[in-house]
Amino acid sequence: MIMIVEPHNAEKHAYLLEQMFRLRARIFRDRLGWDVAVKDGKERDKYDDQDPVYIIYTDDRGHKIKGSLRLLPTTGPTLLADFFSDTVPDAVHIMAPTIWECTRFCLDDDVWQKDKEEILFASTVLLVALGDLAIQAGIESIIGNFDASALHLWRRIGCEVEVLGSTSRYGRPVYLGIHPISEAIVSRIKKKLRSARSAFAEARVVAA
Amino acid sequence: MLIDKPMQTMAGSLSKDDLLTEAFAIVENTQDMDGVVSKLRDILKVDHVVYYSSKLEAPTVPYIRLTYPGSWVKRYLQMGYGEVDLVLREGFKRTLPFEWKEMQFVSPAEAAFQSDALAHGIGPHGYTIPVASRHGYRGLFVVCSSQSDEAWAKFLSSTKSELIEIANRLHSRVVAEVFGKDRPHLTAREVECLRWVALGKDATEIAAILEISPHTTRDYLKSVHYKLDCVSSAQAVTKAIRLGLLTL
Repeated sequence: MIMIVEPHNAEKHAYLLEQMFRLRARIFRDRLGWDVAVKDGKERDKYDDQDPVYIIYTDDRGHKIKGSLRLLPTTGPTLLADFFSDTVPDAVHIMAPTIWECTRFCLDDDVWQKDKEEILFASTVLLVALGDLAIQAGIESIIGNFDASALHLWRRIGCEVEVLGSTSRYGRPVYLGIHPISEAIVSRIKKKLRSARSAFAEARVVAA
Repeated sequence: MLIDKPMQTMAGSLSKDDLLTEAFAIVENTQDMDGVVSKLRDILKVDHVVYYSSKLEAPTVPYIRLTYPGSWVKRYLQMGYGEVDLVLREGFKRTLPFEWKEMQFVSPAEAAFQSDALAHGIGPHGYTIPVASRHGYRGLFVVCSSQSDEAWAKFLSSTKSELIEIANRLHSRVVAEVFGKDRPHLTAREVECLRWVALGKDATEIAAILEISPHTTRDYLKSVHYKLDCVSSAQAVTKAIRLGLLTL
């Protein structure tokens, strides 16, 4: 299932949010070795206080998290503008109501430990959810930070990511990329998803 | 930004570009915010337009400009509806735009408020757009209407992106009034795109020159438009030159 969580329904989904912050700690600190602040096993930063929109992918019953991502409008405070301002200014000072930033994309360890198809499938589900949400909300482009493997994955799924710049300042190279969202692109990705798995029902977007 | 085009009559239906141009001109040139919201209501052909923002000046007194009838405003205050008004209460807990019908009225007081609002000609249809600024200040832009379900659905799907642009333009005016307008900053890439626009190139041609996709070129230009409060690249060129951000 897909859950869209904003402050107004955060209480209802507190259990999932808690899992998400723990997952982020495991992925970004433990697995990727990023310099992120972890407290009580949870990774949170100040952008989590800016009322972001979370897309959370769970098991069929909505109990266990499989992956998540975080969205913020580029018209407000953004992580990318703060972290990449001096290294990739052209990319991170893009501001427009129709362009949003996606950060903290991650998949559960269980998914990571399975085969590549599972990773591809779970990522595709999240991207389809992102696409549907974007179209509904009038969002036309998504800007985000990618490592080399995420960039490869995104493109393989069918996102037309254009790299606007990169930096190795934080260790391994980080790419700043932007990709358009349109009905055509989203329906193309959905088609792939359908053929990837008969269990397409899993990807149904459930309004939360 | 001066628009020397005369105001079109309400009867005439505006194209999407004209609607945006006119709405931006209203926000730019109308002295008082009450005038802004009522003129926007007229060109959008909705029943009412409301703008709220939080944390401006005194934190407990929200900044509100609206077109609601005085009788409703009076009733609202008398009844203390601020406590049960989900559009207001929940609006500041949302980041994505939402339709009023998505909200769940749980308490009898909320339901009573909703039917009283309807009786005063507010709703049933409404669309709320939360807006942000780099300072972290939030606002809500609301349009509401009593038209048929079909007419509302059609209005919303055809005008959603314009409503979002207008909501953000209005918010940036209020933010500028309260905090002062920072001199816009354009990145090297944005200036480059704008310079090619000034030289008569369109997005596809600029994309080929810069070896980026046309979509990304348009993203850079959208960013320029937003930063300069403009609706078109032509307008942005003029303004950027005036502000000394672009020299040809």
